[in-house]
Amino acid sequence: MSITRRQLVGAALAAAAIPVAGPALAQSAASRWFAGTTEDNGVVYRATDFKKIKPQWRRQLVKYYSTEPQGTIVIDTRHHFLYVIFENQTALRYGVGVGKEGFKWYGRAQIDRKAIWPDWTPPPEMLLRRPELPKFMKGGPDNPLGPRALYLYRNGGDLGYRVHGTVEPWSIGSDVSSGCIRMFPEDVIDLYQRTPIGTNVLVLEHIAEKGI
Amino acid sequence: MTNPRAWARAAALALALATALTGAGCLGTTETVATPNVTDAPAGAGINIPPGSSEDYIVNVGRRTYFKADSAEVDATAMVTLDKQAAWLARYPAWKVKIQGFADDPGTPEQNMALSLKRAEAVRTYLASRGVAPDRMRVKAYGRDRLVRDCPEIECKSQNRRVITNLEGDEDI
Repeated sequence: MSITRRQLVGAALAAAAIPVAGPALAQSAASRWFAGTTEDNGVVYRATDFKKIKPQWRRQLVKYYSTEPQGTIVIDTRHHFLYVIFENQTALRYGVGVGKEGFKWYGRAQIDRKAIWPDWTPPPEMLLRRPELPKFMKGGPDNPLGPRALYLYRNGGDLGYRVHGTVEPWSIGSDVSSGCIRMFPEDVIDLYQRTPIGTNVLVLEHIAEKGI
Repeated sequence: MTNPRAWARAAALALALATALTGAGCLGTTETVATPNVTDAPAGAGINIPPGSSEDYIVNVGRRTYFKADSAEVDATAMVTLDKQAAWLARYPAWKVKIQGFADDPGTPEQNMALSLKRAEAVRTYLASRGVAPDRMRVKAYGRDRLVRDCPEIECKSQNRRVITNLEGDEDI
């Protein structure tokens, strides 16, 4: 007996009957945050609709008073901003989302590794909290790390913290349930370009700690 | 509003509004309005950046490309930025660029000067291959001058091994 495509689809729907309504609804609610698709390194992903994004979370040039040298990345976890220090007391500022339990670490680090469309292996603690997560996910448009990841190291050791993209643009500017420092996919691609290996990172709970 | 940052933002907004009303705003430059000298005050046009302005170029394209130790090779990451620069320059043909090469690499000052020139020339060659007319570009080498940060570690070196494709008429880096 041959199995028709319709039967297969029917079986798949039946198997997924209960959870299907949730994701389907979530999908339609989520879609208003996107404006079509765009391509990067052979991957087609959902483009952020920046008209829906509050102005303060969009990439912009701001004044920045500190003694940090140019090129340094400064992250203000409380205010959800990431800065790349420019010349003449200015910085390029991006909005970020911060993991609630993701950043209990503050201090200096450097970017020793960068990846394009990174794979994701949720850490064991996260799997304990959320057993429904896959143990491994290949890089791609649905991967929560998004199109780029910058890995934070200190003294040659991986700190386990990353700056990465997101598939949930609405989470930028807030504390989210999991993850490290997340950015709009367009922004993390932009940051990747501006961040050579060795770039110094300063993670602050609050910028006033080090701001002048 | 007890938060000083909120005050600063409100002050910045008020100033920006006042300036806009008196017509003192000047499209196309990054120093349009006087904002208070506090962190997070706008340094330019915020999110309403005039397309084709130097601020547009700085925020949406990026001036810097980076190089590995002892190398003047335009790598895959640098190509992405240079492709964006070339596309932007094609769209806004009035701009010319000054390509500034820098080095902070092993060797003598003369070798660093030569390497910084090679880097700047590699960028010019690549931009030319992407359609930027040669008469819109000039190169200048700086060697180990104007270090962003001086230390023997990679966190300093990597920022210094750079080329800045600067718009002519913009302030030098």
